[in-house]
Amino acid sequence: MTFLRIIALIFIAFATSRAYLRFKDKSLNLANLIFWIVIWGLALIFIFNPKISDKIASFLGLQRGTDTILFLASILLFYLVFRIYVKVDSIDQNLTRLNTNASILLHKNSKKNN
Amino acid sequence: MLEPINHKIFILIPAYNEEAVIGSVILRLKEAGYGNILVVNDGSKDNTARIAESAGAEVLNHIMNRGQGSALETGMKYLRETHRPDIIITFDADGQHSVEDIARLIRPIIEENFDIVLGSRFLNKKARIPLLRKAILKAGILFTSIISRIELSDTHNGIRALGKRAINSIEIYHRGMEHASDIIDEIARNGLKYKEVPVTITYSEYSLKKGQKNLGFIKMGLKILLNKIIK
Repeated sequence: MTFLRIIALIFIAFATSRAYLRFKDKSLNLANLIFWIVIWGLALIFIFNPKISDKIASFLGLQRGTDTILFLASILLFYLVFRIYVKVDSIDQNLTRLNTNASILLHKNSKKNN
Repeated sequence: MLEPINHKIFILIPAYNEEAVIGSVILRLKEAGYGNILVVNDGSKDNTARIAESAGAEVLNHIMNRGQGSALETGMKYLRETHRPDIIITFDADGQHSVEDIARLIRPIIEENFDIVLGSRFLNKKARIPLLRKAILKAGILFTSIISRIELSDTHNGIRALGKRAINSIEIYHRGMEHASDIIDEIARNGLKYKEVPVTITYSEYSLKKGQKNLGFIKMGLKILLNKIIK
């Protein structure tokens, strides 16, 4: 086993355990846990059986297996960035709503006290 | 037909760091007979709130700065819950709007039963608009007509009059300058009866410096598009 494969294996084990721990403390739901297990499982397959990426490459019309990995990784990254954007936007909306409601409440109270 | 005097009219002014002009804007409104003025101070770091209050406006302070759209949403929600106005006029704090235009905005609501009346600087033939700003605003009009499917001559003008139906049905989603597009979307979504009337915008060095930057319009368009996908 090459040094890079060992590093990748340690990283995948760490990332999967983190996902599992977050699932156990209920900050990650089952669907998200399965999503991360599938992603890291696919990474394991690509690392220990690189020839499979060549087969997917020819299926996708790409020339090399490494291109396939980069292609899939880019799609995954775009998807994750989009998910983060949606989450940030939702937090931002909640913060704005909170600010509106709190400001109105404070104003009403100060009017009542005067 | 009811006269404007029988209607509860509120002027809603979102303001952020406008201490240099907010006092004179309020005084002009008061002199013209508009006594009900609500300033939503959007977390200003200067004396905007104090000056607005001493000029005679009711001032509602945002805890933190959230943007013009959010300030308008706060003001509308507060007015709906407490004063229950018949008409709300949204008016910029930077002094670029003309007090004389308010009567022109109110009239179609009272006399012709329109739900919302929007000010348009392009219907005013005498309007002097900087060329680059004009080109960007025209692009915004095209963008809005594609996205919202509503044909308007001016889509990002802060002066408008909202009647009861508009006050009770319009919800502002974007907290920043993109709120102008939300209002147009809401007109379409709620089937509001709308009209545009010519208004005068006075571009001063101060209002151009304080207002929306030309590059900001591009960012705004991208944000609206992205939020259309996730909404």
